[in-house]
Amino acid sequence: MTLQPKELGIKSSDEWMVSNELKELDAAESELVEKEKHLTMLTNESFSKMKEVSKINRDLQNRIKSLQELSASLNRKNDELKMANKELERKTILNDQVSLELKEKLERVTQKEKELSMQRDFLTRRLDETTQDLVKAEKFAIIGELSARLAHDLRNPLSVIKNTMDVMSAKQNMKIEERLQHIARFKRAVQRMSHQIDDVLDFVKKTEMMLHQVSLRSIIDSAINVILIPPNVKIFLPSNDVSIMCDSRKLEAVFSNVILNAIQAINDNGEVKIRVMDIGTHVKIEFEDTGSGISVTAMQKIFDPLFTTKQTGTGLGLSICKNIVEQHGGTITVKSPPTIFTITLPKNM
Amino acid sequence: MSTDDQMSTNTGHAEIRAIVVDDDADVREIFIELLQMNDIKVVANGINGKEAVELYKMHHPDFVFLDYLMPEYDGLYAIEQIREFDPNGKIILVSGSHFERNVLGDTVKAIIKKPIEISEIFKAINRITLTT
Repeated sequence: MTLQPKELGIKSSDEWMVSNELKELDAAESELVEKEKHLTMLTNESFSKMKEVSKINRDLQNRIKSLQELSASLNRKNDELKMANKELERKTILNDQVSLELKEKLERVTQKEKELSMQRDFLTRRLDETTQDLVKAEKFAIIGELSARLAHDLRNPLSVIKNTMDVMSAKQNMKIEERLQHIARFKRAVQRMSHQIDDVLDFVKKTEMMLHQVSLRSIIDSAINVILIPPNVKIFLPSNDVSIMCDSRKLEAVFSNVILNAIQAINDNGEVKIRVMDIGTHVKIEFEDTGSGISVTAMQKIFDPLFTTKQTGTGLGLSICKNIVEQHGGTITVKSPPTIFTITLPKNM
Repeated sequence: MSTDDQMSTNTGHAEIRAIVVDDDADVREIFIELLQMNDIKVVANGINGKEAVELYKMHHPDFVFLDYLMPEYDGLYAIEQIREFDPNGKIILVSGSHFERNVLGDTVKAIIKKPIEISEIFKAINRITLTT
């Protein structure tokens, strides 16, 4: 608005109108300024708000971006996992296949194992049968040899009886001394025959074991009681004693057989020492004699049935002893010289 | 066996000299007594094959009465050794079993089975004396 100063002093209605209008203009102008100010302020305010919003927006955008990134990475991870899963599935399938194959193979192995076990059982049976056959055959062979030997051995005392009878019936008037000599021959012949028959029977039959706890000393004592000890034979008994589970009657037969052998080995003149040794789970019994000893060749066969170095022996005594000791789960061995028979027996068979 | 049999079988054998070899003392002794009763002179006796050979070489007997199964040196040993020394040696095997017959063949003049029957002994002696 342009004011004209020359018109200021003239107060006319026009002037008044103008001044009024001017006043109104000024008011309007200041109002405008005010409004402008307000607007500017508002503008500023909105500007800063906008700034703020845009900052928030930026932030949000940033967040979105990072979320997007995160999502992308998650996706990636997911993909990877998917891949891994696929791979795993593939592997699982493969594994299943392998497992199936293994299962089949295992079944085959089991089958083979079964077959092998059957074969083994069959072979074991065959072996047992063959062994039994062999044992039987060997036993038959031994029994065959045994009966031939028994027949032979019985013929000797039989011959003595027959010839003594011949002589006695030919010589009717015989002196009493001579008669007694012949009677002694009869007696010896009969004794030998019954001894030979007994030995063979003992060898052939294997009786059941009657087990009980018995003191070895008592068995040794009764074994000695059944033997007629010659006057020049000294027997040394063990000072100690051990009780074991055994068939005392059978062991008594073993001990008396071994002691009798020892007495014969020293020709009824010398010493026989018996020792008992406790060696924990087992017990050892030794029989030592003062005889001249046994030859190496005789020692190798000494426990074989029918082996004998004696004129009237059946060759069965020590073989029977070995059978009995083995029936007890023990062993019998010999070494010489000096001749020592060692019997080892378990205390609790 | 009767006394009469003995008298008839032993006529003509008065000069017979023999050796007896058997490891069994009772068998040997009573057999010798029986032979002597029947006029067979037993010049020596032994207990195994080795002694049989030694006694044969020493006495040159008309007959050897020999057991087969004896310890260490058996009858077979004696037969081989005696035949080597005197192929015409008259050996009569006096034994308890049959199997010797298969083993020995004609290496011995006769095989007499135990228990010894004296008439069998004389039968063998007669047969051997007649054929040689």
